[in-house]
Amino acid sequence: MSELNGAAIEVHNLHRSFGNLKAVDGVTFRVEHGQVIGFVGANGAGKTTTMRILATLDYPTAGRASICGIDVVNYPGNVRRMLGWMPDSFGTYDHMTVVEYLDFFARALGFRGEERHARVTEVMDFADLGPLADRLINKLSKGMGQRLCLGRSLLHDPRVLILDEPAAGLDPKARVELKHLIRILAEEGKTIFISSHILSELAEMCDSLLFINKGRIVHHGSAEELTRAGGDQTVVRVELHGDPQKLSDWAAMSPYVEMIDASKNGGRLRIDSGDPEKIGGVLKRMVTEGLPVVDFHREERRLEDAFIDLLGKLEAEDAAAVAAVAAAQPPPPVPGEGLPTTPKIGAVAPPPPLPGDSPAPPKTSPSDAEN
Amino acid sequence: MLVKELRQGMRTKMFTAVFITVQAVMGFFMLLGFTAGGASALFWLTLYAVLIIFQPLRGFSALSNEIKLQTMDLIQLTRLTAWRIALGKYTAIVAQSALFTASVLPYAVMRYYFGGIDVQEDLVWLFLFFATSCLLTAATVCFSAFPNLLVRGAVLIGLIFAAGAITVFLGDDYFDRDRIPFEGEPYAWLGYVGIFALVAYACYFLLDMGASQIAPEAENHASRKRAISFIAAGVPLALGALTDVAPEPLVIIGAIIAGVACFDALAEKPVFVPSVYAPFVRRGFLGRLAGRLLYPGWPFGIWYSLLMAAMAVAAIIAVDIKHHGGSLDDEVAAVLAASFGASSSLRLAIRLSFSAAWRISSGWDDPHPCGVLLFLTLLGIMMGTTRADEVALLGLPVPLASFPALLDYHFSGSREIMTAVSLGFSVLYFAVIAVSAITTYSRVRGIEASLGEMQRGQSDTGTGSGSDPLESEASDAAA
Repeated sequence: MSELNGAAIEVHNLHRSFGNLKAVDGVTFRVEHGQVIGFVGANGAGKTTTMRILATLDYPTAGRASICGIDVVNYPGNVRRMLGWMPDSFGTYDHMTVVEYLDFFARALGFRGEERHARVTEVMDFADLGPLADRLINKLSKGMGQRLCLGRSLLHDPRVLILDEPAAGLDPKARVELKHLIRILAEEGKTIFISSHILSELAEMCDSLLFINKGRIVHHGSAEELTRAGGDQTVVRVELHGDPQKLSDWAAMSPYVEMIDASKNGGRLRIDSGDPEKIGGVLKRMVTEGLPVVDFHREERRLEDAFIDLLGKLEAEDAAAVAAVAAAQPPPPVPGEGLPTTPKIGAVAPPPPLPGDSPAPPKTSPSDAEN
Repeated sequence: MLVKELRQGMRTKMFTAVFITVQAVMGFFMLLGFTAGGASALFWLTLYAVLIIFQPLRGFSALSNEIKLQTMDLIQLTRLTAWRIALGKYTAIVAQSALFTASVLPYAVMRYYFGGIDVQEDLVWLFLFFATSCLLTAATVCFSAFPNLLVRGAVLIGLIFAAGAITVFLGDDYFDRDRIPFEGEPYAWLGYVGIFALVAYACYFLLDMGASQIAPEAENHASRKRAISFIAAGVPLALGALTDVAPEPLVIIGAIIAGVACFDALAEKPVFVPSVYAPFVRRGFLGRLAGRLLYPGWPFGIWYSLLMAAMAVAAIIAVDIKHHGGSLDDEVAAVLAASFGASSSLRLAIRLSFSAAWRISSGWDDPHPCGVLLFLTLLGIMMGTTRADEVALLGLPVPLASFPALLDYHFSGSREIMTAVSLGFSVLYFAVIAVSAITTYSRVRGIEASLGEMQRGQSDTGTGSGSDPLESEASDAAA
């Protein structure tokens, strides 16, 4: 079987449970060779578990995963040869310098003599670790450590790189440096599977994004696709002269308008329409209703907002499904049937009507929206 | 691994401090003339503290530190197998122990010049200390891979007792009488060879057990361990049965090795990764047959245990016939019944003791085999030492425990009835675990069938097995 048989990464109906917790719940996706894929999800969404399974460090409860067509469970040794893994945090050894650290891993990867020396030198040059060669690794800054960790994962020149939160905890300068290195690797044609919380950075680097939530893939596509997906909504930034509270009071009373967040002079509003005429109508209404608007401009939809909207939509769908199931079940006969009952705490509310439906959707206060 | 561990280990302040302290203490004793007062005993006490206590204790953090520092993942992703990781860690500590031992050799030679010292005797003691240190270090390195603190704590307590027992044994039997083990016995050299072989096997067994804790499921440790244990138990059993050199001690050593190997085999978790079975399937019918004994997991461990029990029983009968004229009679039947029962009851006891709340993440299939083993051992000791028939009868449902009771010459009841009841329980236990293993057997047969089909498909299409990733995976494991 050739190494290039099959996709760079292929995951089919992957499951991983820890007791009753389903960390990964039927994940399926495919990454072609040379692609850079961002893996996005909240903490505990199942990103690291999926990545660890791909890196042969954990086992799926069910399903299949392969790297370059080789099954990760059956042939971990072969998979490891074509895989570079960079964890979100890496431990440091005491009494070991940068060059000794790389030398140890080069030995462990099977490089001998001159070849080993050459690999270590090449990686140190690439990650700009030369000036740090004799520094003890437990004295390195976080950024330097991440560069070292990336260098280590490149020692055997892997085809596929799996990077778990490589930019977490880095200062802006270190983040830019790391991004630069990843860009070079992408240009070299390596397949890079990278997770991060910083979506804007991922959007710049990645060919497409995989969104995972509660162990399930909820979106696979480019950043543009996701931001475009919310084309029926518009976000505008509004500044007022005087008391900014007026804006939130106004938004609370207005249909199809929702306050997303408040600022010193105003805030951001979400309008449930992408139609310029309707957006203009909102501004007109604000002015006619006496709001002292000094600035009103349309914002490009941010990836973070798109992701949060996507999650909200999924939660609403889940709630609707639960409500539908509950409604389909006949109520159990209870003594005193027919008497008015108090709604239970935590009972699921029906989903709000969609924009454009009448009557107008129920209103939320800014504080609710923040929550 | 060894280079890295040596680099790190010898740079620690602790190592430097202990090394300098040992040299200072030895220098001080040299000034005292070594023979003055208790200086000779203090010489050995210093070595004892370093080799039997300090160095083995360093093994406790060997693998757990890598796990704690999250560096184990990174090492596992290299070409180092779990076995090489464990061996590297172990060898680094043993190399440092060797350095300590070598560093006191000049003082040992000086003791000779001060007079009253037998150099040969000193060297034998150094060898025994070093061998004990190697064994204890293997145990600590092995259990450092167990994430559960309870298991590691229990082992630590066990090791403290073991070190205490060694102290008492060495002190009472040898130091006080100023003699060395096997002194004046006809096959003294064989005793030392035996110690060396036993320590080597025990170290291998322990390290492999530790390695299997950190290895991926596709890395098959069980088959090799069982094959080596079969040889390690078979050689002393065969020597005991066929030669006149210390038959009873050899058979006892062989039986102990067999017992430990059976316990390990019966506590293993079944594995359903096809690449584990592929090397057996590739060898056709004989490979699959061997797999019935060597496949990982307790369901196949049952057959392996029965084979080991049969081998031990055969050796006991041979020794009995050869050296005692076959006088054991009913004891032999009892041994047969108990051995058969032991192999099945142990598994059942492990199975029955399952409880999620008590589950110890030890990598063994079941929660507290250590506790079960301890219970059976204590029961066995009680049966073997008590003279009360009622207590002996209590042991009947636990054939492993009834083993010493059945052989106990103080027992006044009917051995025939006890043997029959013991055999009955054994058959019952065996039936229960055999039934509970059926699902595993059928699942493994399915894997074998699909691998066989894949193999036939490859040979039909003429694709060489060299391009099969399985090949390089298997050859890696062999390497």
